[in-house]
Amino acid sequence: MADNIYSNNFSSSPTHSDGIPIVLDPNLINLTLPTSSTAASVPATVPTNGPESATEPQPDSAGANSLKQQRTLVNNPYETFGQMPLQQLIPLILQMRGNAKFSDLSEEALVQEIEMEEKGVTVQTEDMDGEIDMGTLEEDQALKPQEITDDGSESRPRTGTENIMSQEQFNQLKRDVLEHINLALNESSLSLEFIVLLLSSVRASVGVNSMSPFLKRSVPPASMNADKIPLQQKSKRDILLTAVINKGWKLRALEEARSLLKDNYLKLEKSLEIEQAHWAIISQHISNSDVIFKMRDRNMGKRSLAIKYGYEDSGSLYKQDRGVAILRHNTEQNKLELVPVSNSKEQVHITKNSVERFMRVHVYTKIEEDDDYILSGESSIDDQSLTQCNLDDIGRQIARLKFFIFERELMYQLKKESAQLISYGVNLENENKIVFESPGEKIEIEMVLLDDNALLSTQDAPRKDDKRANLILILLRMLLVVMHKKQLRYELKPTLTKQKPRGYDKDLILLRPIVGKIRHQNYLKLIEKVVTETVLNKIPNSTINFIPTAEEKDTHTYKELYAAELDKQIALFDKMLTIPKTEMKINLLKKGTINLILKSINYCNAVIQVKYTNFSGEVIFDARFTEYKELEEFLNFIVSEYVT
Amino acid sequence: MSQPAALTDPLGSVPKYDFSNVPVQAFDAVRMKLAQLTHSLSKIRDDLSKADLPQWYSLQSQLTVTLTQLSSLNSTLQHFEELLDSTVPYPLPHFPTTAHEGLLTTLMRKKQIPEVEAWIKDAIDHSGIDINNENQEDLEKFIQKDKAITNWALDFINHEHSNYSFQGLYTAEDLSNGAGDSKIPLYRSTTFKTKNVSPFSIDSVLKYIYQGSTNESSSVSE
Repeated sequence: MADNIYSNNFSSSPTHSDGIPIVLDPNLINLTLPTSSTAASVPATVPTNGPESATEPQPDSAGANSLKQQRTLVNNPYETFGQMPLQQLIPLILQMRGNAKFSDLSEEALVQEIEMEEKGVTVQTEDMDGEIDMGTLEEDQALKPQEITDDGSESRPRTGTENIMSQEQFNQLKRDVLEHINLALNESSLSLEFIVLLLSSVRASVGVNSMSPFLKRSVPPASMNADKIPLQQKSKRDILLTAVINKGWKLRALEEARSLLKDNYLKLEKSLEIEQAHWAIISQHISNSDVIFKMRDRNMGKRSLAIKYGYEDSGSLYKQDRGVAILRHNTEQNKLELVPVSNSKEQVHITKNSVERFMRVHVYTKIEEDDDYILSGESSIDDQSLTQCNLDDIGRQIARLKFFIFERELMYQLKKESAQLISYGVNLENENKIVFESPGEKIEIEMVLLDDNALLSTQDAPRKDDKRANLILILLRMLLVVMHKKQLRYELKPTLTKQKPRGYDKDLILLRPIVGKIRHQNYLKLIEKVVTETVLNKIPNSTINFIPTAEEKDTHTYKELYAAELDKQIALFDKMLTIPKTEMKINLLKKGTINLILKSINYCNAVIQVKYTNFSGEVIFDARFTEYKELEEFLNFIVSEYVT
Repeated sequence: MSQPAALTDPLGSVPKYDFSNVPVQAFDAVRMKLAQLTHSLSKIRDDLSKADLPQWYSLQSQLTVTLTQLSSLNSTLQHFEELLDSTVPYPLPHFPTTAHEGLLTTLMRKKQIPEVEAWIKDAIDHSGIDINNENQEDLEKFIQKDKAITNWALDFINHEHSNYSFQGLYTAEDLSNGAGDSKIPLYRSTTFKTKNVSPFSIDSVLKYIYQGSTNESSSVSE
C-alpha cells in the first residue's frame, strides 16, 4: 500500500516505488494486507536500483531503514510465515495487530475479521458514496474516507450506536490513525527538506542545520535555485473549484461533527439516566444511620460504594465476616444490587446455604416410661418477612443481611462458650447444633436453613414449651447485645485499651446464665429432696422457708453521658446475669434453725452452705458442701446429734 | 532564467549563482512552522507506536498542538501565497541528479498524494455541485448563496451559544435570574475553615470528644 502512493505519483518511474522507505515498517504493512500486498510485493522483490534509490529523506534513520528494506525486500515474508514455528509466528501476528495480547484475541473476533476482509471490497465502494464513518476517533484524518487502504474495512461496520469497542477494533483504529499520522509526517518532512534545501542556498547555516542527515549526505547544499515568474492570476474556474471543495469539505465535516455530537449527546443522556437512577435508589434506601464508604468492587474492578451491615461499630468482635456489601449497579436492569463481600483476600464464594441460617431453639421433654424425648417447644421466626428474599428492596436486603450476620455471630460465640461448659451438660453436636441436657429435658440450639421447610414447622400446633424456647432465644440474642455494649464501654476507657488483648472470653456469657438457672432449679429440687428426707420427715412440724434475697443496689455513678447511658443499658441485664443464689431456712421449732444457701461461683456449679444455729442463737456449724452425698450425711448427723 | 553565465569553468568549483530570487523570508517562516509540525507529528507517531498507549488526554493535547501548528502553517502559507505561487524552483547542475533522481522528483513533487486527491474528490462529491455541468454564473451564485447561509448559521450558533452557561453549576437562566453567582462555588471545602482558624482550644475539643455534651458543663460551648 505504501508503495502505491508513490508509484501513483511517479508514473514515470514506477520502479522507485519499492525503494521508498515510508515511515511504516514494511513488514507490518505487508502483514496487514494478506491479499493485496502479496501481489504488490512480488514486483517489489525485483528492485532495479534497490534501496539506494531511497528517495524519502527519512530524518532519523535512513541508513538503518534502507538496510531493513534490503532484507525484507529480498525475503518476501509471506514465504517464510508458513514454515515458522508457532512461538515465532504468534508474537509476529500480535505485533502486527498493534502489540495486542494473545489473551485479547478471540475466535469470534478473528472470524468476524476474516469475514470483513472478504467483504472488504464491497464495503469500500459504499464508502466512496460518501457514507460517513461515525467512528469516534479523535484523529480527524482517520475519519476521512480511506479508499486507498484496504485494511480499514474493519472499522467500517462500526456505528455510532455501538457502545463498546472490541480490542480488535481498537487496534484497527489505532493502526489507521498511525497510518494517517505517518502520511502527514511524510508530507511534512518532505516539504521541510525541500524548503531547507532551497534555503541552504541563501542561508547556508540555517539550511544545513535543519537538513536531515540523509539529505546532507546525498545532496550538496545550495544545489537548488528558484526564480520569480510573473504571478499568474488564478482563473475564475480555479477559484470556484476551491470554493466548491471548501464547501464540500465543510459540509462533510459538519455532518461528522453533527453525528459525533449526537452520539455523545445520546451517550451522555444515557449515562445521566443511569447515574440518576443509581443515586436516586441510594438516597431512597440509605439513611444517615448506615455506614457507607468507598470501596473497589473486586469482581467488576470498578470503584463503588459499600455499605456496612455488620455490627463491628456496635461493639461486635466477630471477625469471620466483616459484614460489608457492595452496592453494585446492575446496568441491564437499572437497579441497585447488594453484594456481600467476604473478608478474605480472595473472593470466597459464600454459598447461600452457609449464610442464610437462623437460630432455632428446640425444647425436648423426656418421656419417663420409654427413655425417649419428644419435642415440646420450638422457637418461632419473629419476622416472617425475612423469609422472602426480595431483591428489589435494598432496605429489606440490608435487614436480611443484618439478621443473618447477627445469627451467625451468635452461633459463633455460643460455640466458643459451649466449649467451656462441656462439664455442665453442654455439647457441641455439630457445627450448627448445640445441645444442653438436663435431667428430664434436652434443649437444642440449632442454626436452621431459612427455607420453606423451616417455615412449615412453625405452623404446627402450639406446644407447651414454645414460649420458653422463644424466651431462651430472645435472651441469647439480648445477651449478645449486652456483650457488644460491654465491648463498646471497654473501648471507651482510653487507658485500658492497650493493656488487655481484645476479646471477651471473660465476658462470654450467653448460654451460661440460662444453663445456670436451669441447673440451679435442679439443685434446689435435689436439696429439697435431701432436706425432706433427712430433716423434715424426721422432725415433726419442722418447716422450710425460702428467704427472698435482697437486691443489690446499683451504686455506680457515671459522669460521662454516653458511658452512663451505656452502663444503664447494660445494667438492665444485671438481674439476668446475676449468679443464682437461693437461701432457705429450716425451722426446727425449739431446736434451732438450719440455714441453707445454694449458690454458684460460675453459674453452673453448686456450693451449698449449711449453717446450724441452736436454740440459744449460737452458731454451731458453718460448713460448705459441693457434694449432695456429703450434705445428706451432714444433715443426718445434725439431726441425730442435736435435734433428736 | 536569471542564471549568470558562469559556465566558463564547468569542472571547477561551484559557480556563483544568483540566489536573490529565493524568497528567504517566506521560506524561513515556513521552515519554522514545518519543523514544529514535523516534530509534533513524529512525537504522536512515537506515542502511538508504543505498546502502552499514553493517556488519552495527553494524546489529545498533543493532537491539539499539532492541529494548531498545522493551521498556523496554513496561514503562513496563505500569507505568502502570491510570492510562493510565483516562485519556480529548479535544481542546479551540481545536484546529483543521476544518483538521486528519485529524491529530486520527490522533493519537487507538486502533485497531491492519492489520499489527498481522494479527499478532494470526496469533498467535491459532498458539495452537491456538479462542476462539469453547471455554468460558471450558476456556480458563482451558488457559492454566494452558500456563503450567506454560512454567515447566517454562524450568527445563529453564536447567538445560541451565548444563551447557555457552559461552566459552573448554574444554567444561564439561573444566572440571569440572579439565582447564583457563578464565581462563588456552590460547595465549600470543609477543610478550608479548619486549616486557618481554630476557634476552640485543643483541650476543650478533646474533652468534648471524650465526654459528649453534658448538662452541667457549659465550658465546651465557648
